[in-house]
Amino acid sequence: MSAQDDTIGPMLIAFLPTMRRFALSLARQHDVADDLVQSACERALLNAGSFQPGTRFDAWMFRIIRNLWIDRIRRTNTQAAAPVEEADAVVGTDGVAVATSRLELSDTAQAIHQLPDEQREVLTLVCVEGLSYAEAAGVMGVPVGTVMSRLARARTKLAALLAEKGISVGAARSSPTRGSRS
Amino acid sequence: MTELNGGLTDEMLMAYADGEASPEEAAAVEAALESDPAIAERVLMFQDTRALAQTAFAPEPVPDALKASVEAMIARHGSAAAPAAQDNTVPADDAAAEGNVVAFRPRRTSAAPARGQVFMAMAASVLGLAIGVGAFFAGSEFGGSPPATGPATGGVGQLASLPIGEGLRAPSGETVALGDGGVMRAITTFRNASGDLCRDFEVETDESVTGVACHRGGAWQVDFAVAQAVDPGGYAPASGAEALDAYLSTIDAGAPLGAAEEKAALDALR
Repeated sequence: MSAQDDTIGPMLIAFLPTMRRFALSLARQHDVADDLVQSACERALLNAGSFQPGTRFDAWMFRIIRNLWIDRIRRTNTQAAAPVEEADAVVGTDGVAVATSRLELSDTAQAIHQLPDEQREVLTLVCVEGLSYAEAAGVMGVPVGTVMSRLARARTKLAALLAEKGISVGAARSSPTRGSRS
Repeated sequence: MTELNGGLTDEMLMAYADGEASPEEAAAVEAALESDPAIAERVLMFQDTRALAQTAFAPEPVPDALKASVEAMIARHGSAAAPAAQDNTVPADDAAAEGNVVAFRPRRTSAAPARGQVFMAMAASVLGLAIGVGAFFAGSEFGGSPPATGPATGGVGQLASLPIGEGLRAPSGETVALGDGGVMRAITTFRNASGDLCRDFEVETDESVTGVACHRGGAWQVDFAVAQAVDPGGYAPASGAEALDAYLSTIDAGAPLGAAEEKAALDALR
């Protein structure tokens, strides 16, 4: 094992909230998200040597979480039907049920949850987690151009969904996307 | 979804909003911002969606069970890999947060334009608005030359011919007559990032003008002025109040001074 084990441990703890947020954006259920995070931490500790110093630790973890999530979808193939937050409780490793809060989603969060999976993912990575286009492309395993076109579509769609809720985005007061002038 | 606006794609506008555009692309977008409100609006949409998404998902507290489980996992790996260094593998939240973790989270958005900048560019193209008006007011009389640059037309242009220096010495909230039925009112007093004493004010004649004047080199200078959109039925992507807010954010305006502080600061100018 490399000396990086010493640093990865504390970083895993420090980034737990961020990892959990990303996992939740994929899984949309607290119990599944926590399970993903736990598995991802295990995998990160086993593969500590593959983390490249000088790169973003969170991006590395997001990639691990994403890969675990895709594995899980392939195995169960039930994710698409999963409603937002069915479970009220998480069973901890000690077997004790821990009450967790239901997802209380703001209008914006609800709109983001309505986006197609691939759009929600890229929006989360870039706009919520603050990854660059290139970093997001690395997490998703797609070209930067794909990140950009998906992200532009995601934000256009988000603005339209928010406009339906009466939340104007951009400076337009009357029109959600562009004025009547050309 | 890629659309062409004089060669600008949606992705380029987004990259500009995110601070990821190349210098050439950024220059092209900035040039377009000033002439095409639709482009500015599009950039604002990209900025706003990012800001909204950022605040929509605050990280939640991690359940104790999950944290304990990961801590146990780390301890297991640490003891297997490096028994002598076990103490170092015990989670140290604070050390991690303040130490090397920070280094892995470089802020990348410094190149992203502030929302206010984009808004101002659009406001300049659709409102009677002037930035850096260049009108000087010494004492109570207008003491400089009329604005040489900027679209100082209509409501904004009239500032140059009005004795607003007197109004700028009055306490905030007090209405000062300008003659010809016009009135003016200073709204607040604050300091900008350079420490200059500044006041935002309203002038009402036939039209309503909102402005910001700062005191520099012994005189008041109007740095910003915007006429209210006059056609309520027309295309009005920006109001004077929004433009003022945007401007104040770009100059890093400090909190408004209290009445006593304001009086002391204004007296000190005499």
